[in-house]
Formats: sequence, C-alpha cells, structure tokens
Amino acid sequence: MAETPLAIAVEQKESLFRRFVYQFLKHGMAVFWSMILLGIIVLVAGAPLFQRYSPTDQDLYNRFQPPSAEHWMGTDDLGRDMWSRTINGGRISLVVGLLAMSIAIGIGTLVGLLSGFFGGWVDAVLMRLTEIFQSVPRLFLLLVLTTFLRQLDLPWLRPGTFWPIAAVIGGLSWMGVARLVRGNTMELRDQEFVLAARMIGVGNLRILLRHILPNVASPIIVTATLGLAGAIITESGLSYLGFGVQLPTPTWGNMLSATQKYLTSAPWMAIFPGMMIFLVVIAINYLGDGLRDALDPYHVEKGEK
Amino acid sequence: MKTLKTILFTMLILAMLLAACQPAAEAPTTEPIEATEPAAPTNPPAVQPTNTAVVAPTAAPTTEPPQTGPATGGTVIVGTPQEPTTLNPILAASSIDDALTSLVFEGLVEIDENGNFVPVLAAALPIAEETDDGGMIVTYQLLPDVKFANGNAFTCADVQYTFDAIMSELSQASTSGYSQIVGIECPDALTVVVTYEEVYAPYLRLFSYILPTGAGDLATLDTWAFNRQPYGAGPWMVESWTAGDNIVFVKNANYHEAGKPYLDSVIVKIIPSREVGMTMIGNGEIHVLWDLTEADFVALDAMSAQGVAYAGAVTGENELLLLNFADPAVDGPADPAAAPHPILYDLAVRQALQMAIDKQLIVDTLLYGNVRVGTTVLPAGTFACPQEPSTYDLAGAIALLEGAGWVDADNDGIREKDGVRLSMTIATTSGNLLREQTEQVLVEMLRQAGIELVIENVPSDTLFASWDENGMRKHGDFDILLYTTGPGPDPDSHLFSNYHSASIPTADNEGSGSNYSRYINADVDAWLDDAYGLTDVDARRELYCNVAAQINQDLPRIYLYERLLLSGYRVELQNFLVSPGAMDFTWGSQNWWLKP
Amino acid sequence: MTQYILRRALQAILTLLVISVLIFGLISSVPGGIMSAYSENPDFTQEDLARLREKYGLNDPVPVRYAKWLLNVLQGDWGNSFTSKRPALQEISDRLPNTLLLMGSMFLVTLAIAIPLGIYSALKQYTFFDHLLTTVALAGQSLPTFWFGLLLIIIFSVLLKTPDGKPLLPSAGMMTLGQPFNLLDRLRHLILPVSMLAVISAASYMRYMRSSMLDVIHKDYVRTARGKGLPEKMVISRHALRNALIPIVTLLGLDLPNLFGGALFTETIFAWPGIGRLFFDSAMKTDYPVLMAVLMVYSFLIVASNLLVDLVYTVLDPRITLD
Repeated sequence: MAETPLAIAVEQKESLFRRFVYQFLKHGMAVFWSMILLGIIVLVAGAPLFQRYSPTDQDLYNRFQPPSAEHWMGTDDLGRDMWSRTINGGRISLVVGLLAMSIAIGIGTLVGLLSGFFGGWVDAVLMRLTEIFQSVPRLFLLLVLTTFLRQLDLPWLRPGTFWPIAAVIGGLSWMGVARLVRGNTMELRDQEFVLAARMIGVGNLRILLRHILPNVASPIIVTATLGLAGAIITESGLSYLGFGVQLPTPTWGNMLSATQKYLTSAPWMAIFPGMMIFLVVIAINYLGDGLRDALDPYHVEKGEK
Repeated sequence: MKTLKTILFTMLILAMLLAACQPAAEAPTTEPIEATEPAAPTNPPAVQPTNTAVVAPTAAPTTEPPQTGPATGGTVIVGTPQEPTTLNPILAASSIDDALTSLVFEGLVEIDENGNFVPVLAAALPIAEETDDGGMIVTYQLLPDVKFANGNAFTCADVQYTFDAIMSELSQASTSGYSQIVGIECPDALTVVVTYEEVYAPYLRLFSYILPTGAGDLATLDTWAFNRQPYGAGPWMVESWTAGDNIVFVKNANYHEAGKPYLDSVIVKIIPSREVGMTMIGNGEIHVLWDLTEADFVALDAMSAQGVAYAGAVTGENELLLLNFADPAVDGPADPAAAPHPILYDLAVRQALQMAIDKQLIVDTLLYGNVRVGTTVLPAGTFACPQEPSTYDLAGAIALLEGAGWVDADNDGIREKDGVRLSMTIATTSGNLLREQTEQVLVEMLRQAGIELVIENVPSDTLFASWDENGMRKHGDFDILLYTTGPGPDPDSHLFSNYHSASIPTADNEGSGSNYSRYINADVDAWLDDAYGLTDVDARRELYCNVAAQINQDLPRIYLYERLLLSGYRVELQNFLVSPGAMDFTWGSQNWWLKP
Repeated sequence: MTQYILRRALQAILTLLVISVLIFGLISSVPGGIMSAYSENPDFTQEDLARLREKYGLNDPVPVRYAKWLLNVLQGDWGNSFTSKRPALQEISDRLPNTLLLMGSMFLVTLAIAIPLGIYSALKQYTFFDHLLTTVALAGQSLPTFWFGLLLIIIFSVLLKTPDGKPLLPSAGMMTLGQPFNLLDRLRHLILPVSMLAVISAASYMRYMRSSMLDVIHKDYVRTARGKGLPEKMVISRHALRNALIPIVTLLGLDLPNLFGGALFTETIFAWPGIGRLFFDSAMKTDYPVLMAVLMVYSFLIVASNLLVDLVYTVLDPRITLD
C-alpha cells in the first residue's frame, strides 16, 4: 500500500506530495486515529516502561480481581496484572497481525492484478492455484506443517521469532484479496483510460501500477482492516497447534482465547485485549480512508457537495 | 466535531458491552468452597477415597426421606459435549459411547459408585477356582426372570453370544482377558461356567455388558441397524436418534427391577460448548451436564442458588508429570542407562522437582480445594495403597540441587552443571485451560528453585500419536509431559503397561507399552510378574503396594492431583450418582426420578 | 461462451483431482488418527490393535489407499464412516438441511442489512451515521465469535424471560426436545444463531459495499449521468450500483461454498447439528471417508462458484470479456 503514494510522489513533482500530505491532514478522523495508533505503538514498544508488574508474575491468591487503582485492568486467571499483559501482549500481536496482513495483501494483490489484467492462461493457472489454496483445509495443513517442522527443529522457529507465524497466516489468507482484486481489474482493463494509456505506448507494468492499482485500492484497504483483526486472533489458533507463541508469553489472541469460561465472572479478561484489537483495527480503517481520499484525484471537490 | 461524536459513540458501545455483562457478573472468590461448603474441610480431603457425591449443601436435600416414594413419569434431558458414534458396546470407542450404551445394556458384574464390583445380571459375584493345570474356572449364577426389551428371556446363551461377538472379526472391543477364555458352558439356562487357559486375576471386569442373542449376524456387525437402535436388558431402549442433535431413550417395559425405571424417557442432547451447557443447566433447559472438570467447580458453586448440584467419583487417575529418564535426542532407547537424560536421569533432580512444587497451592487455588493432592499411583478402589504426601520444601529442593552440583554460576537465575543448563520443556495437550494454567504455575514455582521450564504444547493427537506415526511420547522425544492417567478398578494392566520394563516402547516391540519414562526397576518387574498369577485380592494388593511405594522412591512420575469424574445435575433429579467405571453418570439411571 | 464453460469444466476436473490428492495426502500425514483412541488403552492388546488397523485399511501404503478411495468414488461409493459405520454421504445428507436452513437464512439477512446500509453509508460519507456504522461493524470483527455468541445467549435466554419465567429465546439446539416439528418453534431457535452470523458477516459486506460505492460515485459515467440531470435515485440504482456490485459478487462467490460447509463456531455455540461440526468431529477422529466427502463437495462448490461469479461479471458489466 505504501508504495503507491511514494511512487507517485517521487515520480511526479514535489507539489503533488505536498498536496497528498495536505489532503491527509485535512482528514480529521485519519489524523486522530493515526495518533491513537501511534500512542498504542509507543505503549506496546515501550511496555516495560509503563508497567508496574511483570506480565508473568503470578499471585494465585488474587485471581480474577476486577479493575482497580492497583490493577488498572484487573487480574487474570493466575492473578497476573492485565494492564501489563495487555501492553506486553501487543508487541507480538501487532507485529504478527500487520506482517501477516501485509503478506496476504501482497500476494493477493499481485495474483489478482496479473490474473485480471492478462487473462487467458495466466488467469487460468493463477485462479486454479487460488482454488486449490481455497480448498485445502487449513487445519490439516497446519497440523502437518507443525509436525514436520518439529522434526526439523529449526533454530528460527524457536520462541521469540514471529515471522514464520506471520508468513503462515499470511500465506494462507490471500485468496480472498486475489479474487476481489481480479474482479475489479477485469472491469478496469478495458476502460477508456487504460486503453488510452496503452495507445500512447505505456508499458504493461506501468499501466498496472499507475492506472489499475490505485483504482483497486478500496477493496484492498477494506480487506486489510478486516483481515488485521482476523490475523491477530488467528495467531492464538496457531499456538493451539503447537506452532505459534507459547504460554506464558502474552498475546492479545491467547489472552482472548482463554476467556470463554470467564465471560460472565471476569469479563475484563476479554474486554481489554478485545478493545485493543478494536482500537488498532479502527485506526487502520481510518488511516486507510485517509490514504485513499488523499490519493483520489476527485476528492478535492468532495467537501463542497 | 464529527471526530468527537465518533469517539463518544465508540465509548458508548463499549459501555453497553460492559453493562450487558454486569448483571450476571460475579467475581469468583479464591476460596469459594469455604464460602459455600463450610462442612468440607480441605484437609482431610473433601472427597472420600472411595466415595462420591460432592453435593453442595444448599442443594439436594439427600437426607430427607421421600414421604410418598419416588414420583413416576417425566423426561430427563442430559447434555453432553460429544455425540456417541455407536450404541453397540462391541463397537464403542469413546467414554460417551461407553456411558450411553450402559443405559441400554447391563452386564453380569459392574462397578458401583464406590468403585466396587457388584453383581447386576449375576445373582452374586462369581467364584473363581484355580485348576490343577494352572487354569481357572469362573462360575456365574444368573438372575432369574430377566427379560430383554424385546421380551426374550436372558439366559446363559446370551453370555456365549456376547463372548462370540467380542471375539468376532469386526469387533472393536478389547479382547484382553477374553482371549484367555477357552470355553463357556451352560449346565443350565442360569449357570455360566467360564474356563480360562491360565489364571486371569482381573476376571471381574469382564462381561460388563450382555448383548441379546439374535442382535444380528456377526459377519455384518458394522452395519447392523441395531448399532443405533439397540435393545438390551438395561432400563432404556432407543426410540430415535437425530444425527448430531439428540437421542431419545424410552423406558424398557420389561426391565427386571419392578416398577423401574421411574422416568418415562431420557433424552441425550449434544451441546458442544461447555459454557453453553452450563448456561442451559442453570436455566433449567437440561437436567444433567456430563463431563465437567475440576476447573468448573467455581461456576457450579455459583449456580447452586439456581438449583444446580454436582456429583463426582474418584477414578484412581492422577494428573501427573511424566519425567523422561532417557535422552530425548536418542530415538526410543530400550535402556535409559545407555542414553541417560542429561538432567532428569539424576534422582536428586527428580526429588528436587517434586519438593519445589507446591501441590497443595495448586489444589487450593486452581482446583478450588475440591480434590486431593496426588500421592500414589493407587489412590482409590479395592487396591488402594495410600502413601505419604510429598512435602513442599523449596529450601530443601535448592539444597538437593546444589548438592548434586547444579549451581547458577552465570547468575541468570537458572542453574547449570557441566555446561548443561537446568532448562527443560514441558508439553501437554493444547487448548486445555486447566492444564495450561497448571503448567504456567509450575513454570513460576520451579523458577524459584533455579529450574527453567519452557512450555511447548501440542494438539492431543500429536502428543498421543502411535509409534508408526512418529508419536513424540512413544519415541521419547520430550523432557516432561503433563497429562492424566491411572489404573481402572483393577490396576493389573495399567501398572504393567506403565511401569514394567517390558513395556518400554522401542522399535523392537513396535512401540507397544506405555512406560514412557523408560523406568527400569527389577523389583517392580518381579512384583508385577508375581501378582499377575494370583487370584487372591489381599496378596495382590500387597504386591501392588510394594510397587506404588517403590515408584515414589524412584519418581518416574510426579502425581499432582487426583482426578474426578464430574457431572452437574439439577436438584429436582433424585438418585443421581456417578460411577468411576465405564457407565459413569448412567449408573443407576433406573432409580432416577424427578421431584415435582 | 459455451466453449469457455466447457474449457473451465475441463480445468475443474483436473483441479479437483489435484485437490483430492493433496487433501488425501494431508489427512494421511496428520499424527494421531482413528487408532489413538485405542492405542492409549492398556486393555487393548497388540493383537487387538493389529486387527483394528487391518479393519480400517490402514496397513496399505497411502498411494494404494488413495487409489482404492478414488476407484470407489468414481463408482459412487464414498465409503462408510470409520466411527458411525454409516455411509459418509448419509452423514452429510442428515445434516445438510440444517446447514442450508441456517446458512441460507444468514445470507438473506446479511444481504438485506448490508447492501442498503453500505450504500447509505457511502452516500452519507463521514456523517455521524456513517461513523457509527463503521464503529459497530469493526467492533463486531474484533471480538471473537464465541464471545459474541455467549453474550447473545446470556442476554436473550438468561436475563430476558417470558412472563411465565421461560427463557425469551432458547439458548441452543434446533427444536424443543420431546415435541413434534413446529415451524414457529424452529424459527425461534433460528433467531440467535442467524443474528450472530448475520451481524458478523453483514459488517464485512457493508464495508465492501460502502467502499465500492464510494469508488463508483466518483467515476466519470456516474458524473455524466448526474450531469444529464437524472434524479439521484436513478443515478444510483441504474448506473452506480451495477458496477459497485462487482466486489460484492466476488465476496458472495467466496462465501457460497459455506452454504454447504456451515459455520463451525456458530454450530458449536448454538448446538446446531450442521456440516461444520460434522467436519470438525470427523477431523478430530481422522474419519477420512467422511472428511474426504465433505472436503470434496466443498472444493467442488469453490470451483463451481468461481465459474458462476465470472459469468455474473459479464452480466453486470458487458465490457468484461472471458477468454
């Protein structure tokens, strides 16, 4: 996503970049939510500075304490400080979520663009591949993958490295984006502005990046916002299969997954990690809106309507 | 301005979510048992060794004698998280299959709520006689005038038929014990004489269900309609089975206990989510909720005001830590002495592990004080062998480790010895909340002693996979495992398969046996071999007790706490019991009745 | 066009073959399996285990098992479930009506909510109402499904009661047990699971509808139409909506196989006996005849609905050509 504004800004005059920044800043919600997102990132990245208790220190005689001055978000099922776990848990969740989502969007957009733009055998091959990925049950694939990787005992799979987790989540969730982007690209490829570009001898790559991609940005942005929450929650599903982050390391996903039993008796255990996911998702949503509006050449007049 | 509105709305939504939870919210206390059950002290244990029925006193006035006798009629709805796969005991594969087949079938001898063998279709417990050639003859007298639900009389021929069915090609039943039977004779219709090739000590566990002759042709056992519409000599028969949803059992009009069953029908409803099951029993939408765990005590106690009680049975199983004596890097060694575990082969480390674990704290907090700490492999039943509980002694554990040469030279909080860090992995079945909590508590406890535990959980299928499937447990690819196991009412097969050196899974024996610690002790082997040839219960108990004591010396396993079979029920349901045997909550269902 | 469809059908057969090999291979490589239920029990002797392995046909190498399976399927025999011993297709057909009822109602409710709200949200971009819808939709996506489901149960069947003290809505199941079939009763049982599914899925359809509509209403032809002085309603319904529906059609195509596949979490929470749970239960027991049947039907629907979506594209926008 970030390439688009950048590419345009670098290639075209500086004034365009300025206009982009100006447009973005004019978008109040986008600016506000960017600040919130920044705040969350600061909290999460500097978690040790903001915590009063270690995220793993237990106090079995003070389990399920409701939020109080002592424990701002209460305590969990082992008497651990929820505030500390929530801000520490964000580190893995944010990295995994954003990375996984970027991977899914990256692969999906590429496949969708190529498939929709070139059609013919390119489309046939890529779409049959997509169908195969859609059909293979994730559960079994992950189980087999986990067993296989266990036997290899690779050092980069040890606790503390999350990119394999993100790669797996991203690598298994690009098919929807691919189909969406393909659909929109098919619609665009024979439209006047593309034909015109082609007529004046613009190359395929340039047409794809400059003319088609910006016009299929909308479904990509929506998928990114919706997919982010999914990726964060899916992370805990991978731990279940023995692949992801293991306890007692907190993540928003595994904090949520243990709360089913305590829905009524200790609702704060689910509400705070859930709220963090929600805040991040809505921030990304408005960020995406801001980006798209800033990129939209027609946007200038919108305020007048 | 718009921004502000949106923020306000966001907050409003969250507030609504919070508010929606509030009325029902009730912060669980750390010691709910003391609050609701003052009569049950935590030490001595709340659950009697061989007894059941942990009943909240606010509910279930069990002492009050029924003035007019049991009411008849009515329907009880039972919630279970799993659907049975079959109702034919020969094909049963899971505990829900076993429990529900017991509604339809009765056996010659079954296990009551106290874990004792009792005659059901037999008139009395059978007598075993050893023969001169080393064999054994067991003679059963059958109850007279028993009829199957279809009206046919129950006779010795049905016992023969059941035996044939168990031994048939398509059977999925365990044949251990049955495979030693050389003949079943019927001197008269109500006498069964079973001849064994050699002495088979746990003979009472056999014939715990009887199929009616004519249930079907054994060559097509798999596809019998009977498997889903069975009838037997038990109190119920199946009226309908809606796949994935419910099974309706109606009373067997020919049941041999006069006037019973009291109820008209029992409906088993499949409720996959335990949380929803709990809501439904509190709401009165179901009467029984099967398969709860010790982690549910607090929720059950909170529902006593809504008329929910619970019944449990000590199964003789322990939640335990299984310690690997052999080097995990070596694939399935037969003798750990040749490839010792770099840390756990040392007895001092194993002792220090046990001393550094505060079992009582785990029981008091995670389990709400309602179970007993684990002390022995034989905690309950006819062969119970109580042992001294281990003492929690952190200083002692540290002293032991230091004495064995484990010191923290680099001051990272974890000890080392000869370049080996005192760091081990612990694995259990993922997705099990109580086990995950236990593990995390253990991590903290052992950290105090300078021992590092790293949690690496896997799905149960991966943990319990067979030798051929590269099962990590079979091949010894682990440091410490956390799960539940233990002997049934007769400990023979469990002790042999878990602690005898012949039961170490290796390539040579195709991975058979469950001695995953790769524990070898010549005395234990000898005692187990001796006990196998005996029928005398007292002599066997003494030998098994030697084994239990020796295990506690050598510590291949650390017993954390005793497991319960636990079911919730509504107090209007009378005579609800749980048996530690396969029949579980269906034990005595003919006596159930609903208080109006 | 016919030629195109034929070509796609040919590709589909190949794709499905590849998929069946992949799925079969995966299922066979999963650790555990049907035998783990027995191998843990010390009362099962080695002979018992060997007999059971033989009975389940697990002694053959995987390629042989696959070949046998494929041959049988080509003759219309999908095999019997390992656990219930009933034909795999019967296990599916027993649950199919329940799944279709649940998922069909869900789709109808979703579209009925999502399309109007998405359009409205786009036309009123950045109004209070638009922000509210955005917030609610994204909140629904951020909470785990089970949480939302349990919340519904607590509100509608624990806290809210009818005047005679019964739960306002039944918490789980498809019918009141012990009573004959009754349409009203079935509908009452449908309300909670359908609401849960529809709210979550409507949220995402609404987001796509909104963004797609926003894209379209700034396009030249819409501006031209508007410039011609056509009434706004006509501009939207005649010109904008058609093209804005392309992503929605794509999404529907992606979701269509779930009409058969069901929804595991919803079925679990509301004890709805559908295909989602059949799949999950079979997966837990590695009951491969049932698994293969469910997965192959599902894969067929994926392939078929993708073709269907491509055909609908050409109807929505005649400039789209398939080649």
